[in-house]
Amino acid sequence: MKLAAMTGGALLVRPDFAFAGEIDNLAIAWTTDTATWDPNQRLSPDPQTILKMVFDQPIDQTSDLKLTSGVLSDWALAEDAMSMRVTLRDDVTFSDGTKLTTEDFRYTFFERLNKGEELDLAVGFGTVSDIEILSPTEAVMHFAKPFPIVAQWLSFSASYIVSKAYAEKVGPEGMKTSPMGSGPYVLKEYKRDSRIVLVRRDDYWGELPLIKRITIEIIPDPTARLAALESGTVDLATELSIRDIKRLQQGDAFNAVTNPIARIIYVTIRADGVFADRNIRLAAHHAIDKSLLSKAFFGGDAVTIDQPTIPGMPGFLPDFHFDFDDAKAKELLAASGFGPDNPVSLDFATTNGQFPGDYDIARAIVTMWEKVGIKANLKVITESQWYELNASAKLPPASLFVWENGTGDPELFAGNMFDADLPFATYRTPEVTAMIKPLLSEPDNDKRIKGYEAFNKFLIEEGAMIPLLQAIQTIGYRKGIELKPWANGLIRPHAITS
Amino acid sequence: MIIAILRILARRLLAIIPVFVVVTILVFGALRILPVDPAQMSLPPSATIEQVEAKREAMGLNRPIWEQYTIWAKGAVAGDLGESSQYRMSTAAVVLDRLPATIELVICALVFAVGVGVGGGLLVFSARDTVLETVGLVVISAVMALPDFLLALLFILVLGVLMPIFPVNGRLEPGMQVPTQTGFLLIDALLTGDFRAFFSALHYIALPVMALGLAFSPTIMRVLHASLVNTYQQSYILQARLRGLSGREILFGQALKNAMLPVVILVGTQFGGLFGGTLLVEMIFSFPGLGNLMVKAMQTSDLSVIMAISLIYCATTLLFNSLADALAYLLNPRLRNG
Repeated sequence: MKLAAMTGGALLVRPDFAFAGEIDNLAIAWTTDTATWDPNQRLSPDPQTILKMVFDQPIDQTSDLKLTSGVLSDWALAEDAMSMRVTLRDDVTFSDGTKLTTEDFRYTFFERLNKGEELDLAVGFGTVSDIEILSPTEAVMHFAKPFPIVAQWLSFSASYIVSKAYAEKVGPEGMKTSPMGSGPYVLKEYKRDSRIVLVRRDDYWGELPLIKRITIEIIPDPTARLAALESGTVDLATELSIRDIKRLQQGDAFNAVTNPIARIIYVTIRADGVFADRNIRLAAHHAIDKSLLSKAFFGGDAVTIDQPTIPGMPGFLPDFHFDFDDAKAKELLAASGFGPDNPVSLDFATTNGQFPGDYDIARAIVTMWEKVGIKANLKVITESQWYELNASAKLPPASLFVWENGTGDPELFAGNMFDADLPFATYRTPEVTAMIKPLLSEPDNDKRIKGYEAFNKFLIEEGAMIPLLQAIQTIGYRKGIELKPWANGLIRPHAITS
Repeated sequence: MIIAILRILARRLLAIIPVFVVVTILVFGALRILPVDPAQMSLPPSATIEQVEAKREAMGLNRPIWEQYTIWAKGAVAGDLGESSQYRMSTAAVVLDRLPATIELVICALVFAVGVGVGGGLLVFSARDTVLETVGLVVISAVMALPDFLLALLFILVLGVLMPIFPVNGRLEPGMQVPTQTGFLLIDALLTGDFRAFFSALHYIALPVMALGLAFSPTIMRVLHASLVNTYQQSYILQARLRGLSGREILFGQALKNAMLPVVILVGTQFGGLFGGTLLVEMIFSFPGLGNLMVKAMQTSDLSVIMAISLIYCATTLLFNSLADALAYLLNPRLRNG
């Protein structure tokens, strides 16, 4: 009774008491700066955490990548997937106070792309043929060909609504340096590749995050990120080494988590050359002990995968497995005339430092292959070289690669990986193309997902790729704050509480 | 004498031009040999082969390499260094934005290195023929064996984490801002009279400066020590002793001026190395300068940025070599009279 009276008194004299639990400032050690503040320009996953604080997306995602309303309160895809009717909330404002309307929606997803600006947004929305405005909150998107995963794309990287009036005022160059969005934060201070300070908009239309001010320190080196956390310079640091995460978990001063994200590590396979022989492709897969890779490089926290997707995502087959079996690998190689004493030779490309442990994982695979009779000559390349080599058909028969898919849909896994029209495809056969093309335009979602399940199984049984591990995001943070990780690797201010 | 020095400097600077042109040709050629396609890099990842080919044509990449170089050189002379594929912005703007931070870091590190190097060299020399000299030389050798990036990590561990005296990343305290006038934070803070920001900037730059400077200072110590030992064997030192000058007067009034000559040349010739050292040190301390940018450009194969920064490193090295020559001329009467 006495306590209740005291609390009531406190509420009378301190109206901000209702916001108890607010965090005045949260400093985050992040790996890389956004290359540009134009949110439609880049698809790369790392800056999305930063951009999503300043800009809003039409559709949002839950922590397990299920779609949920964002600026769009409702959306309905036509049966033929050739159009989608959208309804915008009527209370969304940009940080300059202007209302967000269908004019801005049309400008972002149609007009900007038609103006010829170099925007990665075109990767997903290049098929938008028009956006018909019905009212300030109602519009219909029209597509040049069926676009069954438009809703997923509206929640994916680079799909942020920009203000038409502002974009026309500052021009493309201004968009790259001076962000103005409808998100929960505004940019207060910015020093490229060093520090970003964001301040909460108290007039934000949605639920207010508890953090009033976010300071993002750009620290590319993992040792320095750990030092920043341990010295108290930052409250939260991402992408720490697995060894440091284990050490933090054993101590009392910090929380540390490993978060499985929608990113897979796999070995690409070419359909020609040495891998034209299916036996060799399957032997290469059977020879890899994925559990050992997870244990050696991720402390056992990385989930092993046998399909080009992650557990829980549509298209994933819980009962489908591909066993590690070196005896079977030897048997398959022997059937093709190879063995440990008479190994088949091939080049194997890997990046070094593109993602944690890449080069070491590749070296471990080389050793595993050698045991069964595959002699791999390891070549270090950069990610950009990978694209160049693949485009000119000079990519080695196998390469270690990483693939991110924050959409929660299988199209951006197997669909894009094996679409011969895209620069990612390494295993190009008429059979694969015949299977994949109908899936890319299939409007019936259930049928589409079933199709991907069958396609994923086919790819593995044919040895078209070697899935290895689901990547993990490592996060260390100080005691006193709680964090809910997101499966797309984003750090969401709404998910941090005191 | 000033006219003579200016003449020397002008002659040296003129000699830089052909060297610089050769370097641009070499760097340009080397970057074009790399199996990286700038056209692919400047387009979205899903760009089709036709789109990449159209971009390649638009960027002139299908022309002979000498023609590509001529186009680049003409642009560079006019201040156009191309477009950064990573930032999709003018390369000149991206690079010039970072340049002042690196110059500030390198100059502070140089001052620190010369201060510690000359002080340490004098200290070891003053303990000559004692066990302390041997100990000093061993310590110098030990520090020489530590590269700047290792010193950076050690400083972070000791002075950033175990004893959190200095901040480990950035240039300024969060929330503190200094209006940009010159781009040099320390100078801008002084120009605006914001001493709190000035000391904050000093506080933040301390660890990178110490890491970079301390890696350079042992060489200065050794050279100065050896030079002083050599100078003290000259007859004019003996004569000075016979004239009854004190040890301090001989050291600072007679010997040091001559003994500094190799140090001046060393600092001039090694300045490029100090500039190059920013590559890893800036990355470790998240210092937003050219080194950090270069590492990122190499990771993303941002060729125009790599080219621009390489040329800045080259120009700096050549320029400081020339300045060292001019300074040596100023300090050494034999060079002037010869």
